[in-house]
Amino acid sequence: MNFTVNLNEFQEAVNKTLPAIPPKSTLPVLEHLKFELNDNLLEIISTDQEITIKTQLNVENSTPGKILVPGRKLNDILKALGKTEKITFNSNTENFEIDLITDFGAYKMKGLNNDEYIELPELFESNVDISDSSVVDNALLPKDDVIRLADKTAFAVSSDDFRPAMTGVLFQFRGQFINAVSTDSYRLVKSTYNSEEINLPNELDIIIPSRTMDILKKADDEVHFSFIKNNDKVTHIKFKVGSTIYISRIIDEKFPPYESVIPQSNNIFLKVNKNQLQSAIKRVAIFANDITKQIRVKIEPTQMTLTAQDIDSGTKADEKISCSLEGEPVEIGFNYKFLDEAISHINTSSDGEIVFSLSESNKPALLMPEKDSKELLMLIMPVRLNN
Amino acid sequence: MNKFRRIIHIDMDAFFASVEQRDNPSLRGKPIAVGGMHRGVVAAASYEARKFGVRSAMPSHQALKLCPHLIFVNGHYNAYKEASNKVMKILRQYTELIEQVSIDEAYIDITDYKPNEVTAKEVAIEIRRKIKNEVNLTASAGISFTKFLAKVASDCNKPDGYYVIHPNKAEQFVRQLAVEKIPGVGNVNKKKLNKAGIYKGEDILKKGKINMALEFGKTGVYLYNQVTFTHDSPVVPKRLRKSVGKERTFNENIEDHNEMLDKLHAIIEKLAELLEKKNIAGKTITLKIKYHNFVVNTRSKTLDDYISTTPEMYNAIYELLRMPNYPEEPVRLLGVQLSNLNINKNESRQLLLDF
Repeated sequence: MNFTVNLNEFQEAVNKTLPAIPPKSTLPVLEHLKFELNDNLLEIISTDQEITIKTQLNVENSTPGKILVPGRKLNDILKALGKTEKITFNSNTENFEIDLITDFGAYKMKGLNNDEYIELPELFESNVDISDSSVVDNALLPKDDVIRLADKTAFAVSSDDFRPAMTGVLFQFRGQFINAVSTDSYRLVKSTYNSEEINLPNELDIIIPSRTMDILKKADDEVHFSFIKNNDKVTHIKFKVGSTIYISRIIDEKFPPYESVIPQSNNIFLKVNKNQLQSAIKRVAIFANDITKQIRVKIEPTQMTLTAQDIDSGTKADEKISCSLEGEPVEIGFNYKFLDEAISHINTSSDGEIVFSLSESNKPALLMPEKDSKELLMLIMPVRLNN
Repeated sequence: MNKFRRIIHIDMDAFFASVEQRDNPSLRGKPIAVGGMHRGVVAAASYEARKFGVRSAMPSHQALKLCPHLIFVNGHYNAYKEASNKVMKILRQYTELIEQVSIDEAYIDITDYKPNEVTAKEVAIEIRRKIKNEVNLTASAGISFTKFLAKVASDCNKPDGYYVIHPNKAEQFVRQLAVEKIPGVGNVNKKKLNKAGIYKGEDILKKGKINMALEFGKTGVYLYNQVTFTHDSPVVPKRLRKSVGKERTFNENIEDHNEMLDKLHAIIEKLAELLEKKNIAGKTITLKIKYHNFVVNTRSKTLDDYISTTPEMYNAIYELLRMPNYPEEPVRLLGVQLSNLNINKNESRQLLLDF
């Protein structure tokens, strides 16, 4: 197999397949990219058996063939080749040696026989034409909306492998809209995408692993979603971004019944300037206890006071900022890290304000860009204060 | 006298069994064993049963062999707890320096309680009288100037008695003391010591500190310090717990995984109750599994945050039971333990969503 290719395009394509190359695999063959070349079209496949990625690019002067190429090594050399415009790739079908040749250098590495690669049944399945819009179970989503859904939810995913359902983001497909929900049981985020233009399954709940969400966060084109079923049960989600296809296993677990924990009757509403609040938190947090990360928030009709104190080191800080309160004054404690992360994921309304809704100091607090926001809801569990 | 501390060791007599006999007159004067009805071990034996050689922690079948008409009774832990609380309340009338070692045993330091008016012996007598009148149980008391001697003394006239080891009699007392009477010396250590010709306190003194250290390591130093009263540990008002747990032995071995989960849930609920009451949370949770063949296996997990509630613990335990695989052999005991504790009451607690 031989070809010549533009270095930038080659590097970009290899880079796209990298998220599915495990840093250290129990199956060495998975540390390789599968190259398949026909008619000047190079197909590159990677998989870690959870995520499979397939991308394509045009090459020149090719002779067809198949080979497995060490993924990280190839990526490293391509990244380091700064100046050259073109690169030639030659592989030996007998001993699987690979030569990369540029204007000023030659690099040799050892590949593997293509036959050693694992079977990818879900990839074969995906050869069904997904551009056929008459198929109900697929939808084209604008890039920005996909990035928004992923970005708002991925940070609150749990890292506790003992609760696998919570290590991913729940996607609830409901015909005209999608709810994306994540929680680590300290906080919960629900982000919604709504459009008349899409036609999605009506009642489909799947959990997408957080690593897959990280890929979606970096989408650089509109995203075409579809689903792969096995015995009528969705096992994989598939999305096509430009000329790259991603197939991700979904987490086959039951997501916690999150709706029941979202308070419906919070009667304290607080409006505060996002930037002022965030910079106050940043300063006060320096004086908080490292372990509890607790800050105390005292909310009064026209001002809120943030206090942090670390008895061990004798440090203390408090700061007042103005706010407007609807309802009873209240005092509530938060882990400042959770508070700050939630606030920074809220895009403010036009006047730069965000809304808190609360009930009691030991009950969940909700943060929203505005009251009754349909687009985004963040829930934070407080820290119990000792008085 | 003032330069010596005044320490009393209060030890309830056959506590569980006495509570049962107190609450059920038909059991009085009879050999009874608490717990172990179907299988397992005797949790406590009445003095009538002890005459036959029945001891706590003895397997039931063995106890029954020694004492064929032994009556097994189910334990009533709430009654024990209540009685214990009443006793502690009595002790608190004298001092806050109370170190409760277990449900039926405590040290109190009354050095500062009316030092020139009453003697420690008088206080001990009064405490024993109050326990008898108010809780309707008997306790033994040991009075001396170190915890070690107080503990040894409370055993001297047990049950329902007391003993004083006065500072100027202490050395003589210790010289005659059999090594196995020293707290911490069990069968294994006793054998080792006897083998080296050490039977009594005076043998330890003869050996000297250096030889004790050379021959018995840490234990040797500990013993030497005890018999020379140099190991003078204070009465610590609240013993710091390192871990807290609950476990259960089952009447019949369990093979069904769902049944194991049900039992664990019940154990965890009890544990959560205790944690709530004591305001304790822990970061490390351990699942203990004892198989039918008495092989014990533990599985632990340390979490990022402190946990204490039933759902938090159950989630972790569920995973520990499930991963890497469910127990493949029948199980006779399951236990849950929480360690890495946060005992600091004032530390704030991050609240969790209740899924």
